[in-house]
Amino acid sequence: MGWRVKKNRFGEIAKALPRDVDKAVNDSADRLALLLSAVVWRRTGVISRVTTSRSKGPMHAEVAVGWYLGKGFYSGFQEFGTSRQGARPIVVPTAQGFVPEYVSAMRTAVANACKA
Amino acid sequence: MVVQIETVELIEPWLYATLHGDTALSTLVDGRVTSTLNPLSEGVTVPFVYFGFASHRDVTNNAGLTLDNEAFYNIKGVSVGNTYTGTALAIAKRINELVQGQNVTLTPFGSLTCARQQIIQYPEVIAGVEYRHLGGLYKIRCSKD
Repeated sequence: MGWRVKKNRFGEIAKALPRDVDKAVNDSADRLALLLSAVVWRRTGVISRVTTSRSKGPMHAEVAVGWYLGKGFYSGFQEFGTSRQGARPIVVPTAQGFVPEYVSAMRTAVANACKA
Repeated sequence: MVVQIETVELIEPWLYATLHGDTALSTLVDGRVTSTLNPLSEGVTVPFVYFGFASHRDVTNNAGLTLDNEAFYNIKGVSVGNTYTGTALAIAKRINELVQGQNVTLTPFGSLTCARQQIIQYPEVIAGVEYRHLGGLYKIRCSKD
């Protein structure tokens, strides 16, 4: 005896999933930027002030810690080192520490979409 | 000996032995491999290879037992010049050949795997001298068993 599907909600879930996941991606990027701005190198405070997040389209966000050829450009030197100074990494450990929170946010987003 | 700090006791000695022990890479940088084990000093001669600890987390089971270690290392070459080709590229490629995709059993115990997560590439100018940094951020999973 097989299954007979009388009703399914695939359409609603398919509609809700991108919306909820997109929101979770953007919220996570905001949260990571907030975390980073609190812990990045503070000599003048510039890197902290320019640490920011922005949406880069559907389900894609970017967190910037300093700008290439702009304010806080030297964050890369701190993170990865210079010809005279070893690396003082903050961004990679913070991002790695953020992974469980991100996984949890994604799990919640998918669960919410399935309840749509 | 009981290994407890896998980064210092297993990963970094392997990285140093692998990078420092390679004749081709050694020739390119004249044997200069710097790291958290032997830090950079003012006036260090370029080119050189640098590897540095970036991050780590324990992978544990539900009982809190560490099953595995996941570490990130920044491994790159630093050279003088205004281009990523030439020496900078040769060093970065040799580093990648030596560590990328490795699945190593360590002696007397332990094992690790290494996979690049992203390329590291940036310029630096100090006192009118241009440097190029080229290499990668590598994820190294290590088990002491």
